[in-house]
Amino acid sequence: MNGLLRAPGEIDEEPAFRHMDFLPLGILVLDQGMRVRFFNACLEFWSGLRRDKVLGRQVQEVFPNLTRGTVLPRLDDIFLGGPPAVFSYHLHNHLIPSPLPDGGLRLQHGVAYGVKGGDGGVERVILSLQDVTELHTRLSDNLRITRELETEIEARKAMEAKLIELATKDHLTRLDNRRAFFDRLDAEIRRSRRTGQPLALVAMDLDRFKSINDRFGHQVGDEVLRNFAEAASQGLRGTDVLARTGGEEFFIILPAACGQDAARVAERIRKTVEAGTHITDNGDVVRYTVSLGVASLQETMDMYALLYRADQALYAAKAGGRNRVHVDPGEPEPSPLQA
Amino acid sequence: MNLTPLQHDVLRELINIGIGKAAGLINQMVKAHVQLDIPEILAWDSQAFEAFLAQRGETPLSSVRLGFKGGFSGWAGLLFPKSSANWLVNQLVGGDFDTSTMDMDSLYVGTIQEVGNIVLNGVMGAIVNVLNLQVDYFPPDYQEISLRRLFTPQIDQRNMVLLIKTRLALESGVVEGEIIIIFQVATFETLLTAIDTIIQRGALA
Repeated sequence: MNGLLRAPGEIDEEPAFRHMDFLPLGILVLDQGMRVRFFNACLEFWSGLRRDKVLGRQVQEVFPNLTRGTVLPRLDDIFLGGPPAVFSYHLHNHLIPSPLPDGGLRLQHGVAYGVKGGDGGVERVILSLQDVTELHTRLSDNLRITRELETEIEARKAMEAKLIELATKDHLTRLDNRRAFFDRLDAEIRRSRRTGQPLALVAMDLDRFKSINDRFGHQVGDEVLRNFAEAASQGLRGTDVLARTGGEEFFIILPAACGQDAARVAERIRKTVEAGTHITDNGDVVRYTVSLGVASLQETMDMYALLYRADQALYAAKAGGRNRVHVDPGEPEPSPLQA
Repeated sequence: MNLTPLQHDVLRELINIGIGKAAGLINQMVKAHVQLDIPEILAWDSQAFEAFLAQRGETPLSSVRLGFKGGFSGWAGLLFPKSSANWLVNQLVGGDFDTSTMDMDSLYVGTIQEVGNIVLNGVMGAIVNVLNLQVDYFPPDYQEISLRRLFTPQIDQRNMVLLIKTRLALESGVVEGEIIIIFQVATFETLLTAIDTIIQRGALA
């Protein structure tokens, strides 16, 4: 920049800066007395002020926002040889107010820097202003859109979780439903085949449940089902699966458990239910019992065979007087001749 | 790279003057009274600096840089870890400024650019003015980048690095974060000669 300026103060210096007239930046040039020595076409257009109304005047008279905060002292520092100064639009309110057609004001990012004269001292300070309104608007739009998308994704995830729950959970007990039970049983049988670990299944049915419904009403019946779900889930391992597969019909899948293990679990549940007393909201005392059938997976069995064995064991427990555990012997079905 | 204790003291004093001025300006913009302490000044050659880079070089930082040429050439950079920068931006814009219409990213960047500029100008101004060095400046620069990426392309055996650790603190004494000021210069000789002149004169001008 050295040599651009002619003898300072004496002649119109505008020509030295005229090449900055059509920069897409607002350019304001100040002398050491803080008088405006150049005001480019861009600023004329932005501010609506004609150049001849601004030139030669004290800048803080024309643009009072410059007197706020730390702007003028920092411009003074530049005249003393200091480095360029940054004025962000967030911390300064519209140094050169520039109205937009919609009534808003342009957002300006400012950088001020010194221009040295022949003697090496800073004779002029140039304040350049970049219009960042559009950039800011686009960034804001992007941020808004991102937030909207995030909100929508969250809502969709919540909806998805809800749908999965509706599809796989029993609404009354929050246990796995029939569909989820079959999926889990299938998966656990495959795992058992792969790992060689045993697998046991317990079929459970509340005894004389219809009479509870008939005597106390369906609401109490529902409470009893929830009460049983709670009682049966006590003491199960994290890998065990308790499911409600029908009205008063439940199953437990016990991975890595043999028939004896499953029989102990079944007996514990039977005792818990037998000992429990359920008191309804009406103060009615309801006692109930459960019958349980235990079967374990044999090499020759598929899923339906295992289910059939567990059901048969449950049937045997019912036939044997209810409130008991029957364990499937795990032998091949006796033929009619042997029976 | 070894500074004599005297050179170190003079440099520290100069940096203190600059930081003090910057803190004064920042406090005109902030509600809380922010102090900038200087716990440590380290002067390294590029080899010693490489060890520092190996330790702390990978974290992305908000960096404000000021390039200069002339009496001595290089750049000064102010590096904010995310946490320090967030705290400072909150202090600065929490009060008088309407932040509801601003998106935080541009708010963050704009504020850090200006605060970094104020601090660097304070330090740079004090060193250049007191030591009477002739320096021209480049436009301020902002990047979010790791320390290593800021340096690697320019590392040069002759390069010297001056590392100034600065702590942001409240008047109450609560320390809120660390910022680092770095000078990377082609050589310290000009700077050291000027410092020695001051020492011979017996006082800071």
